[in-house]
Amino acid sequence: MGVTAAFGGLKDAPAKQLEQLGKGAEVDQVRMRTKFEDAVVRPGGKDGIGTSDKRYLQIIMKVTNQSDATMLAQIMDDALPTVRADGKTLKPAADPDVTLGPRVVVVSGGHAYDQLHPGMTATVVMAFELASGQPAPERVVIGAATYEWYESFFSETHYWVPVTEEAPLTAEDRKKGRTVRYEPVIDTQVSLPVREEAQ
Amino acid sequence: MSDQNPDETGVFPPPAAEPSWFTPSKRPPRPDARVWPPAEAEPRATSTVPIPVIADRPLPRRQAWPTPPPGAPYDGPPYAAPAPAPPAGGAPFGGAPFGGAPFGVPAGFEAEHAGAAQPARRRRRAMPKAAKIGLQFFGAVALAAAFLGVRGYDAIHRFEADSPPAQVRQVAKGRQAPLGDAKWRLEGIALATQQSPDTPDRVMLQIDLEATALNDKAKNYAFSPPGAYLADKSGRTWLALVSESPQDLKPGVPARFTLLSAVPKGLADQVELVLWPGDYQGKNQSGPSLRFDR
Amino acid sequence: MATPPGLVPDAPPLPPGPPEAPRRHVPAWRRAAGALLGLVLAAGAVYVQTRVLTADQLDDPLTVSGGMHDELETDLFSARLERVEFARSVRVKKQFSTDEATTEHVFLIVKMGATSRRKPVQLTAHLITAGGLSFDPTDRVDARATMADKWVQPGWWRSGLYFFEIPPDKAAGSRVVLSEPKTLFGDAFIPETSSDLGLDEAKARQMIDAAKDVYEVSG
Repeated sequence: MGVTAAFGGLKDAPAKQLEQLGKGAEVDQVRMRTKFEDAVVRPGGKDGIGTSDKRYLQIIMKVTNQSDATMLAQIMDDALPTVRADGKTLKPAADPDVTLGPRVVVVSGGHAYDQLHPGMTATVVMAFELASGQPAPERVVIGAATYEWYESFFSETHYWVPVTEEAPLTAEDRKKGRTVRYEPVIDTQVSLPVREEAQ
Repeated sequence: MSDQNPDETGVFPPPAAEPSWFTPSKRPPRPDARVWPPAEAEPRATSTVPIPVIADRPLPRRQAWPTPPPGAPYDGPPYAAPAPAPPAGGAPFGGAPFGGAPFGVPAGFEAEHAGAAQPARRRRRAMPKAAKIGLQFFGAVALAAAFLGVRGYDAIHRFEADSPPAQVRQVAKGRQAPLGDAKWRLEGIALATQQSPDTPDRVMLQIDLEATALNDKAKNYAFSPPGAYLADKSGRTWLALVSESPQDLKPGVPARFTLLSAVPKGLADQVELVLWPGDYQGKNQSGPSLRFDR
Repeated sequence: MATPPGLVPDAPPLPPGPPEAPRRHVPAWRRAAGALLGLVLAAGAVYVQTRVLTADQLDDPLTVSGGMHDELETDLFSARLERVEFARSVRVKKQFSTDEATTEHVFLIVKMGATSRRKPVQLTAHLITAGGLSFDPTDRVDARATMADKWVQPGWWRSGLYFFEIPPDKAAGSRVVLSEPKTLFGDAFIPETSSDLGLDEAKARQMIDAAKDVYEVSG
């Protein structure tokens, strides 16, 4: 409490600047450390991602699990809450009925797996399917959240959650009668040029 | 305050033409009087709060209400003063504590207090030390037990709300009984034709089970069969897996399931089939179930 | 002051009480001992508070621990560690195909035997390293080739393998923990067994150096 008071209280903490990073940047998300390596549009069928008759925008990362337990690669879907391609939002999906995010897998030896083991670094691919004939975007901008080891108010047990803040209500929320809305805080944005790979 | 006019009363004087009852007038000067410390301790008789009368119990540690000699300002520590000797003669209570009703104390008041004081005079015998410690010990144990008991009861209650306890219905040999969406009948439990030579300590049993659908929903049993187990007398259970299930279950038409189960060799002719409406209920062993006699 | 006759009479001067008992003289050493005892009790009470389990610890399973070949008995099942091996890759031979699992690290292969007390159970495993990291069995090896998929039943022992993908330097001091998978509405206090792999730094290094290139299982 004293420390909190000494640093001017909780409310007055300076708002974090949105950090803008580029290709090859490494972001510490507390639960995991993510290095953004590449963004590429290519057909599926390789590395256990998708099918060969469709094209996918793949964001390629090196993720190190900094927690003390095995987690699933799909957690990166929550850890990177927003993805925009040339200003168009890929994630969160504009259509509220689409609740499933992109598929996120660990790629190793030409296979797709799901696990990120503690203390180990793995190549993680987040893949978005492109509609047929849709041109490849030139640039993707990825927003990264930070995790915290959160203590539940009721059960006093701990688990990982992304740091959130109160966000303005959307029309959808009002329709459903929600009164508060929390969204993950984006402290870092990573902008990657997209290259296109044929076949 | 000092620079104010001492005659200032704070009230505008009314016009001289209209004399009023509150026309301020000068107060006559008063002689100085001592206010503090009070000239003498207030006599107790001025108290408006009834103070319980202390009977002639053993002297309390602290002697309250010292009565200083009249006229002398009391300035000693409040309770440290030694008890003054009873004033000779003129003291209202004299030597006898309840000698009379001085100061016009109502007779009833005194009688009541005299009666109350009477039993208090009997001193309770002190409890033996061992009994006292024992009582405290058992009190602590009883409270701890009650606390744990309440918590345990709560935990069990919640657990049972989540997974209701098993309700086993015993089915006589060769009889049918309803469970879920069908009626079930055990046709027989026999040694399976194929036995594994690697495991001489256990035998494979084949269970033939007849199901008669009660409604259309029963056709789900064709692809998600009921949870079946073989159980011995002591409550141990073994999985019975469906090896053949009917293509379709039509209401009223008997259909046959064939199940296989491995049990320890000695128990082959003792184990009984226990049937749960689904896989999940069987795994948790909760809710209604059937147990078929052999 | 003219005081009206009050309700309460002035306190009657108390009669001289029984002669005061001479105060027992307490020797100084006993006072010191008493003070010390009080201090020790207070310190003990404060210390016991530090041992109060946190909410996370209260959710922990009930663990039975042991080493290689020790039969660890819980209320639900018994388990024993039978063998520890290392491999650079795992080949799973299936009926119609063969899966090859590779790693940049190393596969730790644990053979466990288990039997159940009352009912059929399936047991999941995880590996806890000396540093407290918790590894799930790797998904590079099909679960159907592992012990996790097998039913453990009363009356006889059944053996099976668990495969872990770990960095080679994390093997020393690790232990493998077996339990029934925890379900949301199931029993909150599930039992588990914890078998120490018995690997010190030197032994782990030696075993990893001698790791098989290909470990074959059928599944």
